[in-house]
Amino acid sequence: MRFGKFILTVLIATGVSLFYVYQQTNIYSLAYAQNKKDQAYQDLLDKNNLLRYNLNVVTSLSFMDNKVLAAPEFEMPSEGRVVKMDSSKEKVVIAKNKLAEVFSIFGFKSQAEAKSVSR
Amino acid sequence: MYIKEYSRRFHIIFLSFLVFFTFLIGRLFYIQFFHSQYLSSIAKKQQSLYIELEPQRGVIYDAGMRPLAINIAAESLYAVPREIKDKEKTIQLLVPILGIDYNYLKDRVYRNKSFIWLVRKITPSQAEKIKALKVKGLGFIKENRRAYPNGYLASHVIGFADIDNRGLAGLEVFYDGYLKGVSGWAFFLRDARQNKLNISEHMFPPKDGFDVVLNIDEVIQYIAERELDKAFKDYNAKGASIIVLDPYTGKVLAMANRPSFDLNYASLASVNSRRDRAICDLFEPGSVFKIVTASAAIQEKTAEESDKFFCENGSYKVANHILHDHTSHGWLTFKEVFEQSSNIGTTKIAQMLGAHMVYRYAKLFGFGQNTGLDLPGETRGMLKDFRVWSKTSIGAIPIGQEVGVNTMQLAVATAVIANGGYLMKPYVVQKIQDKQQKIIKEFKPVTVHKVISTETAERVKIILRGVIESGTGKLAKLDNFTAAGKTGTAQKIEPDGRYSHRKFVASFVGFAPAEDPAVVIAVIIDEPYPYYFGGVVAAPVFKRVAGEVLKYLKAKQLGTDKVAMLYETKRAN
Repeated sequence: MRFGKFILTVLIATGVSLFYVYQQTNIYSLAYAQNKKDQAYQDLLDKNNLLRYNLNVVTSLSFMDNKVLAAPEFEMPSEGRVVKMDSSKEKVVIAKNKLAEVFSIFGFKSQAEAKSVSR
Repeated sequence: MYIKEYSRRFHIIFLSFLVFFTFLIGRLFYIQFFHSQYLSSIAKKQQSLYIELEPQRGVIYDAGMRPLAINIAAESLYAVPREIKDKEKTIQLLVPILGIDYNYLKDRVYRNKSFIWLVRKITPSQAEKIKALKVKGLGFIKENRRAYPNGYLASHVIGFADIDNRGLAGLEVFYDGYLKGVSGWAFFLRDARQNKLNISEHMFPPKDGFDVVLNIDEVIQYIAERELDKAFKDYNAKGASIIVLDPYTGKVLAMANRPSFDLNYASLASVNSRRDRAICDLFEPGSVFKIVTASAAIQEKTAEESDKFFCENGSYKVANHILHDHTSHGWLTFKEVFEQSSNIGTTKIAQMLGAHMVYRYAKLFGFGQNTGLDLPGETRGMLKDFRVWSKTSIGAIPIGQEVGVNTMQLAVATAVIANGGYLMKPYVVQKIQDKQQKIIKEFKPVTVHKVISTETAERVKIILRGVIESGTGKLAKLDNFTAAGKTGTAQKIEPDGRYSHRKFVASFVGFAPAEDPAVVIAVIIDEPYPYYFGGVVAAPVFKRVAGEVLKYLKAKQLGTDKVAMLYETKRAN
C-alpha cells in the first residue's frame, strides 16, 4: 500500500513536471511565432511609413518646383484644353473656347442624330 | 564470525551513504537558502534581456497639418569583427555600397570587439544590398531616423536633430523637451541562442514625444522662399531673409533665409548656410527705421503731415558730420520727407523730438531687446541709451544708423503700424498636442504693450501708402491690392570702421492690404549687386510675395466659405 502511494506520488510529480515543460516549450514556440508575425507587421508598418514619407516628398511644393516647373517641356494647359468635372450633375463639361464661339456662326446649330420614335 | 564481518561492512557502507546524503542535504539547504539569490540572478541574466525602448520623436506639422518633420525606420549596420572570416573582402564589398572611406571601415572591422557600429541609419536600398551579400558577422538594428519631406523648406525654423534624435537647431532644439519623449525599458525573455522573444517580464512603455503644430503655412513659406531665392540669385547677394507675419496676432506665417540647406543633409551644410540670419544677424536698418521717427513725431504732436521742412538741397551738417540725401531735395512736407526717404528731413524732425524721445520710441517699438520669439539664438539688437549718444547720433539713429536690428524686430515693429499700435510677441508654434490630438499646450497671441495710438498708426499708415504710391517703394505696388511700406538702403561698415560705398543692405518692410492688413512682410537682401537700393532689390520681392500670399489667403477663405455654404444648402434640403 505504502509502495503504491509512493508510485502514485512519483507519477503525479512526473506528470506535473512534464506538463510544466510542455507549457514552457509551447510558450517559447508561440513566442517564436509571435516574433515572426511581429517582424512582418513591423516591416509593413515601416514600409507604410516610408511610402507615406515618399508621398509627402513628391507632393511637397519644393519637390514639384524642382522637378515639374523646372522641366523645359512642362507647359500649363491652355483654357481650351481644360476639362472641368461637374460633380453635381456627373457630367464632363469642356471649358468654353472664346475663339470657337466666334467661329461657331460657320457651324451647324444642331448635329444630326437619330431619334427614337414613340408611338 | 561471518555475520560479524558482514555487519561491519554493512555499517561502513551505511555510514558512507549517510555521510554522502547528509552532505547532499546540507548542500541542498545551502543552495536553497543561502545561494539561491545569486543563482537566480545568473539565470535571470541568461534568460532575460534588458532593452531600452526608444520613444517616437514628435512630428512637426505646418498650420494645415502637413508634416514638416517625421520619423522613418532606418537600419543601422553593425559588425561582430570576431565572426567575420574574410575581413578584407567584406570591406571591399561594403565600400561601394556605403560610399564611405576604406580606411574608416578597415579601422572598425579589424578591431577585436564583439560589437561595433559600422554605419548608422543607412538608406533602405543600401540595407537591401548589404543583406543580399549574406556576410556572417554583419547585422542590422532598426532605429528611427528623422526625415524632412520638404528638404530645404523652412530649414532654419524647423532645425534638425542628430543621429540619436536629439534636437540640435531651430524648433527641434527649442522644443526638444516636448518632442523627444521619454524612453521606456523592458525585460524580454530570450532563448538558449540569446535570441530575443517578444515576451516581456517587466515593462515600462516609452512615452512618445508630443507633436508640434506651427503657425507656418507650407504654401506661404514656399512662396516666400521662392521669391527670396530668386532675388538672392539675381542680385548675387551674400545673404537674404524674409519674414511673413500676421500683424494682429504675431503669428509667423513664413520665415526664410538664404543661403539655405537641405535638412536631410544638415551635417553636410556649412555653418554659414545653417545660420538663421533673420534672428541671429545684426545689421543697421537704414531708412526703414524712419517709421519709428515718423510715429514718434505724430504721436508726440511734434509735427503734422502738412508741415514743411527744408532739406538743405541734399547736404546738412550735424555736429562735425555732413549728412547727405541720395537725391537733393528743397522744401518737403512731413509726409514727403518719409515718402522720398530724406535723411536730412528725418534728422530735422528727430532734432525737434529730442534724443530721449527717439530712444524712447525705438525701445517701445521693440528695438534693443528680444522679441520673445520661440526660436533659439535671437539677438537683442543694439540700441544705445540716449545718455551715451554722441553729437552726431541724432543725425544717425533716427535714419537707422548706429543702431543694430534683426529682421524679426523690423517685422514686429512694422506690425505695430499695421495693427493699430500694438507690439505683438511673434510666435512660431501654434500648439503642442499628443498623438490623440489632445492639446498639451496652446499658444495665444500676446500683446507686449501699446506703442502708439490707433489714430497715429492710421496716420503713419497713410504716409507708408504714399511711399508705395509715389515714393521710393513704387516697385512694391500690388496689382489687385493696396499696400504700405518703407524702403531701406543701409551702407555696411567696413573693417576699418568707415561706411562702405560698395556694400549695402537693401530692405523693404510693408503690409497689405493697407486698409485691413493681413500680412506684414520684411525683406532683407545683404550685399546685393549690381543694384543695391531697397526700392529696387527688396520691394519687388515684397510685391510678388504679398500678391500671391493674399491671393492664397483669399482662396483659402473662399474655400472654407464655400464648404460652409454647401453644408448649409444640404442641411436646408
